[in-house]
Amino acid sequence: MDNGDKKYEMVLNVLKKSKPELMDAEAFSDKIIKLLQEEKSKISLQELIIEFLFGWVYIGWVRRSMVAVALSVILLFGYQQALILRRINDLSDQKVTNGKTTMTSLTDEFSDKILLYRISGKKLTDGKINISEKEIDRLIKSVNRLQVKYQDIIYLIENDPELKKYIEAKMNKSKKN
Amino acid sequence: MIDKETIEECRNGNMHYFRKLVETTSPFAFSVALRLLGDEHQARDIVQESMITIWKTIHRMRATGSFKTWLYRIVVNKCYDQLRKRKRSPEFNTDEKTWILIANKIYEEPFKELENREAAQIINLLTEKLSPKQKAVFVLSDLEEMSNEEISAITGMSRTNVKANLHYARKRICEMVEKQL
Repeated sequence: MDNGDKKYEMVLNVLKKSKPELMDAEAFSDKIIKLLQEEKSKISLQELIIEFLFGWVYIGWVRRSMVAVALSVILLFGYQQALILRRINDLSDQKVTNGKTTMTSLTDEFSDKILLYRISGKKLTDGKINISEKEIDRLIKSVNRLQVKYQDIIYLIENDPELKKYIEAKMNKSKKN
Repeated sequence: MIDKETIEECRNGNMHYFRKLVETTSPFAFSVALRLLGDEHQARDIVQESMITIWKTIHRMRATGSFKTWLYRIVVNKCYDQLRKRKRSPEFNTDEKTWILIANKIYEEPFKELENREAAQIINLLTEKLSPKQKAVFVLSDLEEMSNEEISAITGMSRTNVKANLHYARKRICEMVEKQL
């Protein structure tokens, strides 16, 4: 132990031996009790109401339960919001068509859609139906394929005179029947 | 320090048992407060405020065994607030007189106890360069003879921090003592 440590220990021993003493301990206690009793009589109505309404926050298990419930409500809210957003996105993907709506564009791109309108328009009742864009595209593709096949058949018939004669004969026969 | 029955009665608002609690614990609280603040009046005020706080919040206390820690924690926190507010007043320099007092006590009158005022003066001098936390750790460890675990529970510092602060405090005081004595 070096000199500094030795002196430190000596100083410490002096201080440890001389523990501070509280003078007039009884009078000191009396003073505290008196202060508390005076304070008790001064508690206002407002403090009582606040204590009554919010005193429960000091109870450990009540506080923990409220925190757990609050977290559950927040999670539930978040889940509901996600669900609602998903439904809104699904709705915005859908197309709403009205049987009375008139298409005015006559470009080649829309000729198929006009054809579809003519086909579906006869069967649609007044009011609105929900058809998705996907279904419309599929229908248009199907109509286009049929049209191509129909043109192929017409081309074959035109270029084969014997076949043409045969088909004309059959058609005349079915008309007579 | 305090039995379970007394604490339960205090929780139920029994003023008689609370007086008993105050009488038992005030001396310990006063010792820590005086050693930290170095002023008897301030120390008495701190102990008084601490006892009022205890009365108002004793129903929140969890277990009987931690009452001592809880009491000291309240006292130390109130002392911290006081120490932070305090600015060193430009009084006449009493350091030289205090060193003479220390030397006298060590070499001439080693068996005579110091008065409250003298003890406070010496502690103030030795710890004037320390932060409130370092001072608290020094007082609780070397003067009140508490363990590092207890000090950690009272001050809220980790045990590593307690050790580090204590080491620093001891080193600074050692240097001062070696230089002056």
